[in-house]
Amino acid sequence: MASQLKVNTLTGVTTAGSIVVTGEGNSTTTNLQQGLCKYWCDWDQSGTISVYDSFNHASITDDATSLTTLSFTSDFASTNYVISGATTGVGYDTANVGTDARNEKLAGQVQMRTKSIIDNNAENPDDVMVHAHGDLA
Amino acid sequence: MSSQLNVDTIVDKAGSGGTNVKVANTSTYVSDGGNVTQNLIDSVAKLTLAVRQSGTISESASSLNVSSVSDGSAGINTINSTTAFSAARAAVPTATIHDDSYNRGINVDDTSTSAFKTSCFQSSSGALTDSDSGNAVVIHGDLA
Repeated sequence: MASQLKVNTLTGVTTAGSIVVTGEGNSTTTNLQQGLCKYWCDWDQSGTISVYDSFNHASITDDATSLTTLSFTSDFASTNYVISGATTGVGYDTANVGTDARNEKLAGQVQMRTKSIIDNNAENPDDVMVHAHGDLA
Repeated sequence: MSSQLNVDTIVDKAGSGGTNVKVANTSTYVSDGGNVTQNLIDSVAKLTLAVRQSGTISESASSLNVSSVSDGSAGINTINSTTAFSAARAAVPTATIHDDSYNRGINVDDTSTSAFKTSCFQSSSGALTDSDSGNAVVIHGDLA
């Protein structure tokens, strides 16, 4: 018989922010909190910047051509989080999105740069998407 | 009245693993640092795939929520998801290309709620081209 447990919040007993789940192969365990994506955002960088959809997102700032600052609602515990992204193409060109500089990656915000991998020109794609993993505060 | 379950390990009823555990989409979890809570379902990847483009296209056995991958013209693939997203812009993909010989880039276009076109480019020429080693795609966002 299937069982159902209804609960609003999952909290570790030993450590509030640490719950272990069993892996798909049933032979290992992994930390639930560390495996979750802590931030994602999908935005339009062409024209007036705007957000299509997001999670843990506080604000977005159009800093300059190809430069955008994303701010988080809940901060990371440090600057050692992992952020990755993708964009849609601009014609036959393709833009890469990445952190602009180490010192622009803060616990509460990050500046992203979008540039062509073909000619290194600054680009403003109409669809830029990033994920961030790591430890929240 | 709010409820709170304190637990160190989550497994299914039989105690054999966690693959049968279901979690409601309003569930929250306590963060790593213990200071904030976040929605659990928003934090979970909704589609994962590793695919090799060159030759006969092949996808990884451990993909998640992938119904098929179609091979278009050079450099182009379309990933079809089993479960659709709530809107085309509700899917937030990232992609990484692996190639041991060339500097290449990849972009992702969510053409519908369940179809995602990936385009692989050669940096030196800008031409669309199939990657030799494979592409990795992860999509977060809101499912229907």
